[in-house]
Amino acid sequence: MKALLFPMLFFPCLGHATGTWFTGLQEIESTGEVLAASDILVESYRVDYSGVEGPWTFDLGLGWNRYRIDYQPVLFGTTERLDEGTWQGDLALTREWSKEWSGTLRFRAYEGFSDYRSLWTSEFYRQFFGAFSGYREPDPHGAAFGASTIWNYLPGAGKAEFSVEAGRDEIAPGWSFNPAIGQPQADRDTLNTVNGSLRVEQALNGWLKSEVALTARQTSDRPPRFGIRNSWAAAAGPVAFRVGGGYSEESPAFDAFYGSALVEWNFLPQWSVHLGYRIYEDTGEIETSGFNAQAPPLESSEIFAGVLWDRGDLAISGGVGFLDTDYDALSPDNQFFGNLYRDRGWWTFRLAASYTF
Amino acid sequence: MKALFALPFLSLFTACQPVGITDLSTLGRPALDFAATGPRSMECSLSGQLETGRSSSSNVSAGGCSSCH
Repeated sequence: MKALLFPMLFFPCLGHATGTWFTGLQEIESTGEVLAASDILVESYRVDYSGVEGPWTFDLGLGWNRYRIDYQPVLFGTTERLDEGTWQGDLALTREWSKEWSGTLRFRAYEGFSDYRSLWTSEFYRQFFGAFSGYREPDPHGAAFGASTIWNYLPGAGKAEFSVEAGRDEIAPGWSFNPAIGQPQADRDTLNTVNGSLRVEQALNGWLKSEVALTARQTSDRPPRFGIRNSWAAAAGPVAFRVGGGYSEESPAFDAFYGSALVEWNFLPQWSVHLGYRIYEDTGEIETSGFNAQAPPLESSEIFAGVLWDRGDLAISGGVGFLDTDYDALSPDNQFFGNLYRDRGWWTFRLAASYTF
Repeated sequence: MKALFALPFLSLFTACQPVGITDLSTLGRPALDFAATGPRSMECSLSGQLETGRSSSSNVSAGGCSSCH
């Protein structure tokens, strides 16, 4: 948890080290986040650097996630303390063609588990099938290429962004016993994903702004998932408000609804605080029968608050939240995953800083 | 139902009008910056590991646990 202070320590050093790389504006941004329950800890640390040279903007991001789980089996296995890390990196190059148009090419890659649930289910399969010669340890990793274009159709007031990305993930697969060969057999362990999004942001006047985003994603062996999100924000003197909601669906039966509201109060010239509340509900992931590790329907809510000090070139913020998750009961086939999909109270912590020079 | 998705877009484009330079600082406040990152972002992104229908990330994990097939 002490590593959450990493953003404060890291970015000034990097700022000095890179001071002469570009002749235009440069920015270092670092973020540390923690998601903590009594038996699961997820930490995420990230540093981003961007530099401008003429019409070109170069972005480099590096991140590290750490997953620590007190693994407790339900029906079979042993208690274990799991501790895994995941590296991530991304690179982007943006060309500003005119005041209205710009385009970006992006590449990103990671090495390690993509989330704590993957680590949990991977340990389940290791304990179940690890003694067989046909079982192999997972080596999850992935990479993606993407492109986007931004149209500032009303510079400063309205813009539209269209993005596409294609990626391949080598995942930690699920396993099942094949009696024909007397060995466990892995499910598909390579997933290809193509996704696209359209985001439009518009200021309706000097104090009211709105955003609409449409997303679509196609992953191997799954129907496409579609989503829409709409947010509105308004400012009135030292106070600003934001409300928003969204919906996503995937055949045959996945639906998710979510919403959020927050208020921000600029109580001193460089200081502001915010308080927000979010709700979320889905119908559970798409395999609802037979043995599988998919999540049952979920209802969750989070209350969060934070403080920001923003001098313009230097900004530092901290935040804390409490997230309550409430899963439906698992089907009798999937009681093995009762401790993974247990109702939990989670604390979220966030510390971030940026420096522009 | 799906036709309702067009309404937010229509409300945006019917309202297109320039804003003054003096308005830009107000419109750039963190609460009005929908794509804010780093210190100006207000929410913890790790909740996307639980609320898989909310995430807009393109990572496979954003659509659910990558091992949970």
